[in-house]
Amino acid sequence: MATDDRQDNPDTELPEGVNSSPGRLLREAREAAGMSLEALADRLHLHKATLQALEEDRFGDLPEPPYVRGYLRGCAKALEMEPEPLLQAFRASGQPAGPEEEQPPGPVRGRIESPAGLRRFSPGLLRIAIFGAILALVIAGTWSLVTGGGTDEDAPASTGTTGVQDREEAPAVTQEVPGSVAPTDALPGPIPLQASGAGDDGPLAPEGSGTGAAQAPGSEPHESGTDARGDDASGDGVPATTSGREEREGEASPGPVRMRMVFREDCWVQITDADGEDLLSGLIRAGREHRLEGKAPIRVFLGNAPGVELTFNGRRVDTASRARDDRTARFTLGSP
Amino acid sequence: MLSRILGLLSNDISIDLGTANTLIYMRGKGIVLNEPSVVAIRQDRGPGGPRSVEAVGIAAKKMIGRTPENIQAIRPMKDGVIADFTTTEKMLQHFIRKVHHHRMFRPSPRVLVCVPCGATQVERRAIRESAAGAGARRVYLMEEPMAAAIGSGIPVDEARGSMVLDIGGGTSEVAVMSLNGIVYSASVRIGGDTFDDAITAYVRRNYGILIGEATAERIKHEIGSAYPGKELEEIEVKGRNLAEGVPRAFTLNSNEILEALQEPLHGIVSAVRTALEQTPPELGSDVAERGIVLTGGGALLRDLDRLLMEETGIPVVVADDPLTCVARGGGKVLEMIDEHGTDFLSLE
Repeated sequence: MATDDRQDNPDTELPEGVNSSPGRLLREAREAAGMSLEALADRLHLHKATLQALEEDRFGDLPEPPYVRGYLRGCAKALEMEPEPLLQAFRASGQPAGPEEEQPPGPVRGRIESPAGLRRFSPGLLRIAIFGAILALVIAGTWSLVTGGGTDEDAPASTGTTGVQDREEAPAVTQEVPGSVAPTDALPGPIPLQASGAGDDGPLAPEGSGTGAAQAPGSEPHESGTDARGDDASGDGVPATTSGREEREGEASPGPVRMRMVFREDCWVQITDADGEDLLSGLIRAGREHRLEGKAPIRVFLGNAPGVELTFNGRRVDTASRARDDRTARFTLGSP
Repeated sequence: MLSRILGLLSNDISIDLGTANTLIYMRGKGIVLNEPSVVAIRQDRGPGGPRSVEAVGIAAKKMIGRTPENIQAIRPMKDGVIADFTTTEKMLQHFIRKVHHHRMFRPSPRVLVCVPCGATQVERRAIRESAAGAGARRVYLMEEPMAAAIGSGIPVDEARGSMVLDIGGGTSEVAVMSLNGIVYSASVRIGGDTFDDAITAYVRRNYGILIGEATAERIKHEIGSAYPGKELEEIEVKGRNLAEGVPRAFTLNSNEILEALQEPLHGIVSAVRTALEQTPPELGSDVAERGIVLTGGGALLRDLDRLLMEETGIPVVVADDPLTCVARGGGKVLEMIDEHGTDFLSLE
């Protein structure tokens, strides 16, 4: 479904400081050493066609980058030259230069359910938050022990409700947290929140629970808190306060949609469509362009939002204005 | 519950618990520890007296062969598996604390330990319990060649055969992988330590001189090679003359070391040949097309790739940073566990 416009000709986009492609460097070194293509291929036990592809920078016809780097190193050794210029040129051609730049292999499609909102925090911040939460719990616990049964009598008096409504008080209060935040700047909770809500209600799109939460305070807050998501309400409240916001594009566009992404800077991305399929995921290098097709609504997570130009169904989407302080942005496009 | 809370305060780590070196990869930080798997144990008041850990890692390795009677520098791992359970546990405990040095609480990370594929159930259980005893909240075991393959960046999730040869300190593992699983694997108890022993034995046999473990390793690093080179290199070393009983200096050259290493090298080549014979033909042709990937510290032995290429007739590539492939692969798997659970790989 996702089509990838990989630019396979590195000659046209070599960055500064590198004045030749790996293939050209290799060919020059081989010719300088007076070795024929066949002789070098024999020495490395490679097919002649593979070596030819390497010399002509046809990376599409070669195995994965770790192998290519190994071939380049082997060639350098056979030609008694330093491997670094070849590897540097390979790196400059837009291929992964080392183990750190490669993506972990094989994402299992449609199974990404990790709490991305929490992971965006640095471990240090997360730890401070946990410490704070534990401290608050301890203080709250001590307070309730010290004050004893007095609170039970005070609570109905302050809300002024009858004994029957008292039982509904807890979910109603917790429900107000996402409810009161959502309408002010149209920011419903994070993805895990929606996923769990949708899961309980049936096979709905993630937006089902989000819109439900947004409508809740306008109509009847008690109703949504009690019947539909009473059990989840307390659980939902926690990530809503700690994780980031998610924005939605107002335009409704059901069915397949088209996106075009131009990367001006390196950026980590994760684009997921309505079926939960990853259209694009991983670190994309500057200068790349990707065209994606998928089913709306599309969930977008950008690690470096200002560095990406995004067009959605032919309309430009302003990514820079959606970026948070840490340059990340998370939003949904084409939600009904 | 408490361990879970403490777990949030610890970083998950992947450990390449090797015979020669232990490497630790911490999520988000990369390789944070690379130290010899050596522990120096002090035992005062004679045999049966109280034992305490004198030094671990680099400090302990310096003591090998140079300790007084009450201190013993030992390698708790042998042939890729635990030879001394208690000492391994102490060593792991030390290393785990060392990489969590700034923490207020006792670290309780999730730990992924890579084990040789030839390790028996008893040996695996020993490693698991040792890691748990060292403070791990949860222990995953993973076979070394798979971790090495993932660490080297080759795509193991595709329906294509990839062969990895991981030469560690105590064992060499050869495996063919496809679709996130191991199709064939074999482990031979030949590794970097075997090379050192072969050099020591050669020097004793031909010169009548005894050299230490550290000297043998230095010879291997400086002039060791697996294939005849164009230039002859020499090194001057000192050892004890067995006949005279006094230290003597003498010179060794690279051809002598090549001769000394013939036997262990032959063992590794045979293992690779057997693997190629046993590999299903479709996967074998994938391997022949792309090549064998060489990882582990043994891959740094000069011209080992050339030897394997000449002996098998298929391309051999050395992975990037071969020494750390296993630990890095384990780290990547920890990240994948968070995203996809443990179903996608054969973890224990």
